[in-house]
Amino acid sequence: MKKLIGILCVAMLMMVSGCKDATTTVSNGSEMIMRVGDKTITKENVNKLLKLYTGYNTVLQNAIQKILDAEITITEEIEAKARESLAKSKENLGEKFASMLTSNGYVDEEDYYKNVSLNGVLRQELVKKYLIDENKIETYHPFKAQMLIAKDEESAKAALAEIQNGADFETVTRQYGDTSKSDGTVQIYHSSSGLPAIVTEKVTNTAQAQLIEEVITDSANSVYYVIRITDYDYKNFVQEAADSIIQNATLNDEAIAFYLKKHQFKVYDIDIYNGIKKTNPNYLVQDQ
Amino acid sequence: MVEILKKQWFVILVSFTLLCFIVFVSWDTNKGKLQGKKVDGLQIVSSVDDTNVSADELYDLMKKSIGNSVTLTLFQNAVIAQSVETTPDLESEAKLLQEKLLKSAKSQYPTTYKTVLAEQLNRLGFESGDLYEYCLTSVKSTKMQDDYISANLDALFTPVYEEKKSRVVSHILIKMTDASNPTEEELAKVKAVEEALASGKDFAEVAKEYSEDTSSATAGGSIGYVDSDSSLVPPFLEASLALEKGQVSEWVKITDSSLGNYQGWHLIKVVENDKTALMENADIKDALYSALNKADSKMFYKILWENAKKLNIEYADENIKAELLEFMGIEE
Repeated sequence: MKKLIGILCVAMLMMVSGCKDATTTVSNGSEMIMRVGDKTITKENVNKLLKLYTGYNTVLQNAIQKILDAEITITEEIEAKARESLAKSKENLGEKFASMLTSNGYVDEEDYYKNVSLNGVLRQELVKKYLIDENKIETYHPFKAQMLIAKDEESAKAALAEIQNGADFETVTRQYGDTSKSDGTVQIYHSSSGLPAIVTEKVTNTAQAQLIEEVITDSANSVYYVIRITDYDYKNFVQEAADSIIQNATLNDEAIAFYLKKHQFKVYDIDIYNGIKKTNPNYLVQDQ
Repeated sequence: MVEILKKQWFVILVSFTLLCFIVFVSWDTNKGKLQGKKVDGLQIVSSVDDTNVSADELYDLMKKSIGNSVTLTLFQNAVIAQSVETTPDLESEAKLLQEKLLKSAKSQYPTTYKTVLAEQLNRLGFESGDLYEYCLTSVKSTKMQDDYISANLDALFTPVYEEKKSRVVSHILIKMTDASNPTEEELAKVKAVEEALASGKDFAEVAKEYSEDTSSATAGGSIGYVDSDSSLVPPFLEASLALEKGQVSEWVKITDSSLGNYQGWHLIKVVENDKTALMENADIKDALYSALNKADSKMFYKILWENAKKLNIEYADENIKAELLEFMGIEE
């Protein structure tokens, strides 16, 4: 009896003591990379430090790349945008571009193109796909409109009167509006455009393509709006609306989290897990 | 069998209860723990759909981007630790540094300083509890560099001296609210300085008496080592570099109000610009050595490699050595 109880207690101790968060090590971790005097530097020494510096980020980037491969087809249009992005990077960095490639571990320009330029465009496409496929565009209430933003009420009222009489909106904007804020051309606006609440309210109340027959006053900023809504149905300009909305940083995170969950992203190493938890806890979809 | 069960029912009951308890405790302890995964003997770090990333694959990916930098960190620590003899002086310095870092960490992160320190040590290639080891390596690194520079001072300093016009400079500052429009009181101070110098008084004595730069006045107005890379306001730097030894500038008017305490009129004197004298001046040693490091961005790695060559180093393959040298910018 006592023996049996003793055995069961030992079994319990063993089971409990083995319970800790999972971590990973490389195969042949004790393999020597180099020996400096009496100090041996092993593969696992290097691995441990690598994981600290870039572990969770590399895991995430790798996961996102697999999702991009699964979700987005590379078209000629996408490649053209990516080449344009690469050209801009080269222009911005000038002579430093070559040394940047080396110091960041890129084999050559094509390696950078694939991993940065093209990857950046594909990510934008992924966010667009999320917006469209998951019917998220509507939540941003996008609309097309021409806007005249005036510094004083008198100018705004005069402008409105002229537009009501049939004058061209853009011409009137050049005359009465602050063209540094809006040139009067048709633009897409949405809930993340930074419009004052009073403007959003008036547009929502109008809810159709027409000239808003009153000057809208943003008292907080002493700015006056004349607005012609040209299209209130986002279904008529879905792609354009998506292009406009994707600049939102929060949306980018939301989209990534969605696809990580869709593709059952999971982490099995506590150091990687904690790294992601610190910076992007919503990416740990295994906890949801 | 039934007979055994009847006879030992109590033992079986206790065993069963204990077993259930063990299973429950095990499940409860495991519940919050991150589960691992192994496939074909390989440890898996992450997965997307049915695709796994093993620890080995992750290692290859990470090594591609920053592998050389990490290997260098570990290499550097090992070379420094073994290239410089541990002396009582260095141990004292290390202990002082350790106390300073601990104090700073505690003041910035009162409740989490241990975790913060551990993370930072790990990132530098040290174990979590090795703050003293890190400090010792740090002071040894300084000694290693100082010893190398001292042994090769003339060869290292000569090109810098010639190119960057090294010198020791002093100044007298009369502070002004608006240096382009001094008040009568401020001008009176200017006049007092001019009269004191005209009467034959030593520049350093006049600086001690009249200069309103409190950080240098007590040192006779000395701001120490200056060269063309020094972070000084352009008009001040230009005037400093234009003078010969013993010469005093005209009043240099610094009118930039963003400079706060240094806005005003400055008289600048070059106290020394002889190469040998500069090399032998203990007061400017730190600044001069710092200028040498600044002038050659690869200086540290050159020194490291010179010391590494004295140790017995073995590489798993020659590529590792080649990559290290390339990363350090050293050609052999």
